[in-house]
Amino acid sequence: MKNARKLMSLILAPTLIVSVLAGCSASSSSTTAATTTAGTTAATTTAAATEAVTTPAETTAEAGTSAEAGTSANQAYDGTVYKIACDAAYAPFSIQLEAGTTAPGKVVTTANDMGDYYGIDVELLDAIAEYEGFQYELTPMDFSAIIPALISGTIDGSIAGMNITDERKEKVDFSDGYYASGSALVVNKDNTDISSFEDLNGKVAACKEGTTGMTWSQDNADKYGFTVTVYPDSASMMLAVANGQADFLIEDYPVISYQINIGEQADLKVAIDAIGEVPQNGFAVAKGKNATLLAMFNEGLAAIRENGTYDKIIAEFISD
Amino acid sequence: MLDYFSDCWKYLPSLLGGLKLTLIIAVVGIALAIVLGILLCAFSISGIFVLEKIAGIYITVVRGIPLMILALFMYFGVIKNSLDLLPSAIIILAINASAYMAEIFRAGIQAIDFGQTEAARSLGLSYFQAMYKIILPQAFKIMIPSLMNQFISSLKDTAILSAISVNELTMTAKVIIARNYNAFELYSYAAIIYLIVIALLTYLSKRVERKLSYDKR
Repeated sequence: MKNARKLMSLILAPTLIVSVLAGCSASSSSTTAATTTAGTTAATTTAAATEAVTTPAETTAEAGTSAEAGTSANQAYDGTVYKIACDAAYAPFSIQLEAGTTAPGKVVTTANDMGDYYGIDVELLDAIAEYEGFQYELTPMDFSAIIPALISGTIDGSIAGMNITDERKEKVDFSDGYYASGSALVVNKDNTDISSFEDLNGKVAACKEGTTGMTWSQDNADKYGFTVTVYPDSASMMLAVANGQADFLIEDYPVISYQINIGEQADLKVAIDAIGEVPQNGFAVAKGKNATLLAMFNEGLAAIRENGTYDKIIAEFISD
Repeated sequence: MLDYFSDCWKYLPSLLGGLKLTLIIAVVGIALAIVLGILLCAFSISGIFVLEKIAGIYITVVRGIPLMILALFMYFGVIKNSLDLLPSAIIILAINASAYMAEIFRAGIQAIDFGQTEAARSLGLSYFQAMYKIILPQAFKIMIPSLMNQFISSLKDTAILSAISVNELTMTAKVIIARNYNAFELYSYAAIIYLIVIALLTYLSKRVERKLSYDKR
């Protein structure tokens, strides 16, 4: 009996050690896998960037005629192909075309259009470049990488749904604001009793962890008398309001408006479209560099605002 | 290091508020789960085919679904607007724990030699008398460690309910972190609070176990 027990422990001990070791090696191998995936993603982004290079070709064709239209800012333009970044994924500002999807205002005709970008930022830039007659190469990249890339000179400019803030102004020069992008208060489409902040008394707010909406809700809960619930992701937050488990939510106005517009959030509607300060989005270049590009952007922006192109582009994505 | 933890008093009230919710959900949820578990266990040892199957399917389904999915499915898909958040959270935790409870009860009862039931029956006790007087008192002692295990497990599982916006201890810490980015500090406070509560529970269960095991040393 005693021997049997000894034998048992002799067998069990190595088994345990082996399984622990196996556990360790399994976890390390999964880390490697993750790294590989990250690598692949980077590769994909590069591919998308390469494909985006096709755009300047068309622009070049029209460059001559636009320049003749006579703009003052492009007098100094020397024909450089600017590298301009957009956010890799930030609907409705920049959206990558996927197989089988159609973009508003953009018809997918060939396989070449797949992986191409559209969205407010992309179309505005395209319209401005066409008006001013400069060439560019669209470089979609991760939002957090954009300012470092501007500073290092990897890219010349960026149009990435970036809010103009004082902190960023220390690193980059901004154009005039091209879009006012604030937070909206969103309610269930059947809701009729919320139209101002005073109506929030006794209501339940849903917000997403770590967003400006959460900060605003927590700071104003006592003032307006509502309770705050926090969800880990946008989908749950929106579901809670659609189900009636919460009365309202706070989300970036262009983002939620676009989702309602394309029918993704048909149970929701915007009750108040501007909460607190409404920051402007700006086109950015590295501080003190590319002044010509910035001047052309500003001039082109003013021009397309005047000739109606601007409103047409915004209306494709945002319904008022 | 001392300086580093001096901040903790500032966050303690809200963290304790979260702990209160964690404890309410865990205690009420487990109490409900015990009732449900007893019922399910009775089903599964009843010897009646239909009841056994019902218990079997329930246990398989509930144990086979991650609590996170159960919570999201129940709260957003089934309960929707019919219940408040707190009762919903309690029910979800109870459903999850009841399947494990049923198995703990069944294992405890079946650990007692069937010969004892036969002996009791031959002495003229009815099935229920034999259960109540002979089997259950012994089975209960065997179950205590597993029951405590399940209670601790469910107490920590409440953290998963933050997915449906339950503002329990973990969520409270996460929300504070979202504003001040002090992840290391706040998660360590939360971890210490969980640790203290669970250490107390473990001590308590050891005491109960010792009280009941008068026959063993």
